[in-house]
Amino acid sequence: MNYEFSTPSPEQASAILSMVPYRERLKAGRMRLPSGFMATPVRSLHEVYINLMMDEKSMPAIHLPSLSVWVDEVVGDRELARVIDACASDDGNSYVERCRKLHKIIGMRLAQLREIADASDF
Amino acid sequence: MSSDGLNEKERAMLEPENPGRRKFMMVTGATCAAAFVAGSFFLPGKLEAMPDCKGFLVVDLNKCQGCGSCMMACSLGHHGATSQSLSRIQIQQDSFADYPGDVFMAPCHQCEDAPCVQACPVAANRPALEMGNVRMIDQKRCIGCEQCIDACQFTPSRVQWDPKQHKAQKCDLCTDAPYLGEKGGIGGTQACVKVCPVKAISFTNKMPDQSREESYQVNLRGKGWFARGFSKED
Amino acid sequence: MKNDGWAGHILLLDLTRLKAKAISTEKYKRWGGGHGLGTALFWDYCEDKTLTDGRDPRNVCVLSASPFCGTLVPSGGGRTEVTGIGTGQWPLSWYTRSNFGGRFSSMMKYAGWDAIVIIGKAEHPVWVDIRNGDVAFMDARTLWGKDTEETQQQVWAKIGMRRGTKSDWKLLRSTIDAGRTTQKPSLLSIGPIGENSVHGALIHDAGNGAGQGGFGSVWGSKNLKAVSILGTGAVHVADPAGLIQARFNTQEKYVDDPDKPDLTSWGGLLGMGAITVAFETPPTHKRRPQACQSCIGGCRTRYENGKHNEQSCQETAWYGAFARRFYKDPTDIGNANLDAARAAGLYGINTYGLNSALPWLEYLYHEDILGPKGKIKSELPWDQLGRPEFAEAFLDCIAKRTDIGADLADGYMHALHRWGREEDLESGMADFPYWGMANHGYDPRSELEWGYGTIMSDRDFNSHDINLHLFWLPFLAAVKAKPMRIEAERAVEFVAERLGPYAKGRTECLDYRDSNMYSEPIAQLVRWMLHYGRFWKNSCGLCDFKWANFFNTNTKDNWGATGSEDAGEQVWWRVVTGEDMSFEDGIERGRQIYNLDNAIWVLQGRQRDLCKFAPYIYKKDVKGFNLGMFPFFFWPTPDENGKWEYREIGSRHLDEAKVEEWKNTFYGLEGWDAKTGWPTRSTLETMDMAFVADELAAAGKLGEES
Repeated sequence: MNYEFSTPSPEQASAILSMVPYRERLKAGRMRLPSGFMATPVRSLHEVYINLMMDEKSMPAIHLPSLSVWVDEVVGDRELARVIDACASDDGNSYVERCRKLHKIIGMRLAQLREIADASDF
Repeated sequence: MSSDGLNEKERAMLEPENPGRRKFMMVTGATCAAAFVAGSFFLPGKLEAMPDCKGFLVVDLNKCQGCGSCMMACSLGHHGATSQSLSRIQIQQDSFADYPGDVFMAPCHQCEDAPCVQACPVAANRPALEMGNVRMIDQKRCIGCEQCIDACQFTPSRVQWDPKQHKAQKCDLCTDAPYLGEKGGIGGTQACVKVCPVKAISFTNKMPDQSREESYQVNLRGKGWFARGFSKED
Repeated sequence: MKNDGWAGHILLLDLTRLKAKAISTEKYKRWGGGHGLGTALFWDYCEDKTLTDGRDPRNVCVLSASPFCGTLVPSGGGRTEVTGIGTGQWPLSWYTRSNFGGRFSSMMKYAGWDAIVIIGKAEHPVWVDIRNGDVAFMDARTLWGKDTEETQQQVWAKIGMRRGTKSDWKLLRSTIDAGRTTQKPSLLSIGPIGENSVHGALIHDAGNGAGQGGFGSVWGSKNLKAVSILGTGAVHVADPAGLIQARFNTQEKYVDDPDKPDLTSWGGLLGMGAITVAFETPPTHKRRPQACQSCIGGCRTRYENGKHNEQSCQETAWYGAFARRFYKDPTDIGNANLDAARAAGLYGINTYGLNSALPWLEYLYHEDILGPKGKIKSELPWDQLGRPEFAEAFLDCIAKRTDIGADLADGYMHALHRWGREEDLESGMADFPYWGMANHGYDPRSELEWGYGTIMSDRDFNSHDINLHLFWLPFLAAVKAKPMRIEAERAVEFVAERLGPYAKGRTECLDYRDSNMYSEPIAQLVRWMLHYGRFWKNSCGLCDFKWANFFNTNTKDNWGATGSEDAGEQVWWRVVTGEDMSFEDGIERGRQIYNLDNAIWVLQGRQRDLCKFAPYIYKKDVKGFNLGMFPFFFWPTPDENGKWEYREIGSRHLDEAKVEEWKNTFYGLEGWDAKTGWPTRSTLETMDMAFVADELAAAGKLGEES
């Protein structure tokens, strides 16, 4: 899977990578099936990336359409938001598959942004 | 029935096949007559060569979920009431201990040369010949001396004390479990085996190695258990 | 009635006088065990039912077993119900309930007790040593301040029981026929948080806890540190062979083979057998399932690292997501989470409250409202939220009333109001939707029976009956795009068939569309669930995880155990007690118990105006997906042509005025005065509860007849 993202400026990349104010966090969490849900807010793309990770024990609990809106309006990465929206609307894939796909896509975008921003802190 | 009260079969067991190889001696002044309990035949006196039991319970200490269902089923099947103290299998737990040392399962071993049988002065605790030689206690004969309880070499003693009846009791592989609702004993159902929700208790005809207590602890876990998220290794 | 299933006696513990007395269970049997028994005892023994703070010494706390406890009823033999006035709720603490599993209730029955009634307040800390009929009040001053594990182990040592497993038979007392046991005492204790705040839980063994209601704090206020019980007796049942055979049949027919699991089964948790219910645990197979007494499939676990034993479900839910911020490896995440879970158990806190409290406090910290420089002073290391050390520091400050613990210790809502943070309830930043209690996760705006059931009772509804069947099973399938094993229409039919005597067969009771949110069928569903829960679960002791069982893919016709002829709730009642009660008779008994509860609430000051949600639940301008915590919310609903499917319920709010209208419907169906929510004399008398009507009348709180 390859996504060709456009190249933002270093300032834009840094802005996208930074943490948003707490009150603008996205409500998300982890689910352990069938136990329930653990809430954890996400405040950056990096935290979204961690949240989307699948493992043996739990899986992400994140409303994907809301994630798209948040990445657009709060994080400021409209391009990525459109990709997320397309993925979120893809009825051909299960929620688990969509999360896996988004995890990869966001990982790619993070790597690109970090390189541009030279932001080893993120 | 002859004048000594024994039938042909019993007398045959008393007389050695090869003179001098097997001897049966009377320990007490009790009668030589066999005791009849529910159709089974007991041999009186100290037994030098006890017939092997034809069935044994083996357990998986790593699999038990500590629910106590076996203890409830055992006591319920035998007494019509659930009671941990009257259960003939004991499960002991320490909820703070590291797995697998947090659970111990204590079934009766139906020992080859059962000390509890040997200790009984009144021939109440004997192998039941027509019931696969299961070591069981005739409640009518038991005098409540508790020597069998003390004689059991295992901890906890596999013989229990019934304080209301003032008798000893022990696992009989559900031979005499009037409330079980189906045939028990060797060839039938053992309540603890059938009720265990995780199948941590099994019945076998093969006698475990009598020199090691651990030979009654087996691995009853397989791929399906692993699929549930639990180890199938020891 | 005979004593089948019953121990026959109730133990009264007077902590003020340090005296114990036995009374007969006979006159209380009509209420069932558990909750019904506890409420009836509270009714008789609480001298002042107007109390609204459980820390008052006049509060009466009851631990109740049921006829099922200590018997082979599948997943019905091990729960203990706890009742009394609670602590820490808002605007007042109702007469409430909790329960816990493990070995305690079975041991109570073997010791000869159906219930333990705790009255008064000791002059100094005590623990109670119960061995069959012998009761001793012991000095607990050296135990006070100790955590729940240390308390239990020290009491074991005092009783002469050593750690470890393999041990020989012990006499209960020195006399030869005092009874013998190989078992350790079953202990229930409080930790430092119960001694000093409203959030105290009661903890038994490593991981059984009664959290909701703050009963640990009730005990703390009474100077009661622990109750130890050891029993060597027996529980007689009416039909022993019937019980054994029904148990065998249930396992064979309704429950997965433990060695051949169907991991995608739609058998409910009854059908799934031993399945671990825990969040963020270390990925290890070296563990065993661990179960309450008589359970057909344990939901807890014991680990190679015994410090994490029995931590499951709720206590593993409050911290794991934070732990992910610091740890990447699943083993490290799991260990950090279980360390926090263990700390919660040792301190003895109701972790439910933390589900909402911690995210809210974190929000205040990030807004610079709380912190070293904030208006709300806190020196806690908030940047370390996610490490076990933070969890311990946070719990410690509540236990010792230091830092923000000084305010939190009196209740989360008490702190919120003291800090002037009412706006957080308007916005939903403080996610406490009902009675000052944390959001359980099934948002009232989506899962209607949960929210309504909560405001029509005393606490977080926490009854997973239809939640497990109609939400979780389709949800599990949907997230992985697996087929729905039971179609929506059939699923609701299975549930609706059980809704007698009120709404048998009415599938519209399960329709959660916007158009049906405030309807009479929904009111029927809610009252059915309250009544079913009050008797069959909370009074009989059937575990909420395993019961009800509406459908089950382990059976040929997919019919579940609930109400069935071979394994239904009424079957167990009959084989244990000998009483031939129908399933619906049990629902009626639950109605009576619920009415007795309501009578106490009314005496405490209940008015219909108090029965409402927090303001944010009614907020209309909802942005984004607001239905709580799940990424989407599936529920079976019919379309305009009546075709049922599992559909996503989108974002929505509850209309306050329509909720009030719905309450009118509910009150009418219950036979209560809609103006107040109070029961009427005629309603009470039809349930043979004239004595309740008399007391309400004397207090001027009887509902007006319509």
